[in-house]
Amino acid sequence: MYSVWKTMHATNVTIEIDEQALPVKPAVKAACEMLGFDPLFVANEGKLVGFVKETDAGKVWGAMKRINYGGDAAIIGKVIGVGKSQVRMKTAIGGTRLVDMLPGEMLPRIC
Amino acid sequence: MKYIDEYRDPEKVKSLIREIKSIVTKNWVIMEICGGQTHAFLHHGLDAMLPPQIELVHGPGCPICVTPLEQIDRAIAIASQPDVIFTSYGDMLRVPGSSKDLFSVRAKGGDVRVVYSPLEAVQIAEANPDKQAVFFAIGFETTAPANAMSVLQAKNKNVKNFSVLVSQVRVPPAMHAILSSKSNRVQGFLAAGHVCAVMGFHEYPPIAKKYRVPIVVTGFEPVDLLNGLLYAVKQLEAGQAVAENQYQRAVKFEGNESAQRTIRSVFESVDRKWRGIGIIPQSGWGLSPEFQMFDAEKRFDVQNIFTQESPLCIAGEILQGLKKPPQCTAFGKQCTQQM
Repeated sequence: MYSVWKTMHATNVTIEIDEQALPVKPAVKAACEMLGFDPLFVANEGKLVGFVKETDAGKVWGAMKRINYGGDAAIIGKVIGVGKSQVRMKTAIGGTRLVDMLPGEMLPRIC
Repeated sequence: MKYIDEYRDPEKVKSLIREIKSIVTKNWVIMEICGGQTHAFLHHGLDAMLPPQIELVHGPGCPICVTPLEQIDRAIAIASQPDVIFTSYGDMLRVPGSSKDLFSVRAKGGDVRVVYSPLEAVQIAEANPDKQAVFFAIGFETTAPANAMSVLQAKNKNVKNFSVLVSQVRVPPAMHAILSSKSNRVQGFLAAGHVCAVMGFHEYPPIAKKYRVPIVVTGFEPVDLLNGLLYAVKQLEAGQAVAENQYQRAVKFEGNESAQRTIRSVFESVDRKWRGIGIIPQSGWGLSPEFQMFDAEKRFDVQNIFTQESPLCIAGEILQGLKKPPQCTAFGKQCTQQM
């Protein structure tokens, strides 16, 4: 998520992420539910986030799927505007929310 | 994920929103009591999907928000002492005291640790007999049984280097305080599901009756929250005011009696100070006389730390639904998380 957020700031664009398209493994999702973490902010080393032209997205995605370790590749969102630095999330239930970076380390919530 | 996915089903969510829209005819101000419910509304983007007639106000059910500044200053004073291992639920570490937070105590070499359960704090005490292990026992009725259990365990195991800094509060007195205020705007409540999983909801029918407000015990997933709102709006539109239970899979009328016995065996009812609101009589729990030897306030002599809240802080008005968070002029300026 940090890569998406940094790109948004560096390029002054609005990015919309589709929560349902995010490739989060069920075990990771379940562990995060139990521990009170948001998978968006859990360290996720060795992953690639690519920004490509919309018309090339399908082709790049197909190529990624064919290589080793690319089986879970997904198109997770798109740039929907220029001039406003913002990351939005289309939530799984059909809502929208802003996604901001954490102000410090992620802490399990008591309430 | 079973027990999660069925309560985040987009089709059920859409259908419930349609149903709420179809019955709402007037403007209603509904307070979700618990910070977890507020978080869920915003996390799922649910608040923006509701019809404009429903105004949600975020209630006082967040121990992070209601723990008074002086209790955080007391925690910091204890955690800063040598040979203390200070343990706490995670998100309390970031809450600013009057000059710093527990994170900065840790940054300066203090031994401040996050625990998921107060029983871990007892284990830490046992593993470090030459240190003092202190647990910051905050929270509503939800955390009270486990917090009480840590004290019971320490007593049974004769763990003398364990103590608790107690800041335990209760929901019903806060509801009375909100509803009896002349400036109250709240017309209905979503009561906190996990508080009621412990306490049941037998305390709520008299409140619903006395103040003529619907109170719906509600869970934390999108379908729970919308069902809770639907029940509340149905009552409001029909002019009814009763206590109902949306969260039947977790909450019984009488609650968890074993957990309640554990609470009663360790704690007694006391007046508590709430951030930005002040003292609410009999609104919390403190250690009963039998367990005073586990009281960290006395062990570390911090009872006399009293702190004035900043006059800029509007936390109390927000917690009572009188102001909205964006109205805070200190946020990000005088009041930041980087102290």
